[in-house]
Amino acid sequence: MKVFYLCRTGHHTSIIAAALHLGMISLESGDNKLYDLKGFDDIEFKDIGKPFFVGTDSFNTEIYTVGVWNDSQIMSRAINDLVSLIGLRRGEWQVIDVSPAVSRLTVAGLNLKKFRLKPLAKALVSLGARREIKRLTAYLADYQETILYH
Amino acid sequence: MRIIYHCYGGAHSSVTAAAIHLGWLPTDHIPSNMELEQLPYFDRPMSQEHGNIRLMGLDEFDNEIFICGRRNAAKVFENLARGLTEIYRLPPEQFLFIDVMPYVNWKMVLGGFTSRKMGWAWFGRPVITRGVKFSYWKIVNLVQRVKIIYGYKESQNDKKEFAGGEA
Repeated sequence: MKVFYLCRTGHHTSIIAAALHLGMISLESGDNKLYDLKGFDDIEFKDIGKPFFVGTDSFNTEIYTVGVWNDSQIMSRAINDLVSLIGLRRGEWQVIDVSPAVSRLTVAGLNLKKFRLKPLAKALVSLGARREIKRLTAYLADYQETILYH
Repeated sequence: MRIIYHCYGGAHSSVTAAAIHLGWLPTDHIPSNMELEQLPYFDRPMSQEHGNIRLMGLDEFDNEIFICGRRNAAKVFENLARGLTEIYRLPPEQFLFIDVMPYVNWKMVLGGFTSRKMGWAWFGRPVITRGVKFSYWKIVNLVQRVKIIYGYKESQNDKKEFAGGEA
């Protein structure tokens, strides 16, 4: 099985969600380890949309993140249809849109990044990520049964 | 091969391109309003359906022809699709993505917005059909290039494989 976490860039909120899923970080560990995570805040805007492999969990589920800007619902449908076209059956993949957990601070940080104001962008992204860890822990609890016990 | 024509809403330019590809619309004259409006999905999909990939039919080379509306995220959509083919280890030539947006004119934008977004099909549909007719030859040209480059190549490969099988 493959799980695709969607957020605006595929390198912020969805990486945190993937790291929580894989047990790399927890609510207790906070945001100290975030910049150690592979791919966190490391984006090329031209590559947005390309799935990014984060790791494999203990159930052999492959975890990917995908950046979709503001079009998470459209791209969720597109992923579902494309994977069906490839020939996979329902239950062999799951798309989880974590955009509702995106903090405004992260969005502001991303906008600054576009203007090459990197230090300020990094500070805002870190603050945003701190809020997102809490939101995602609660948000992902709803999905835990379907992902872990598929 | 799967050929996916994509545009903003998957309701006008991509439907027209797919219909030309499948031979449902003429390539020697501009179709009538009736012919355009009778096409499946023409001026039908709503914004809640954007992102869905719809099968239109099979062409003469047995390629599957699809349409998709992906709003303004053409690059994201193509990156996503290419990434998925890599993840599932499919040959990249199995999917072909054709962006029909460069052939969309202001009449199609205005008509599409009023018909699909505002729900004023009585106003928008005639404007769209005028717009489609205005860009019709450009879309025909695009489809013919696709068929010459990819359809021919595919059929040549098939012939080679067939010849190899005979030997």
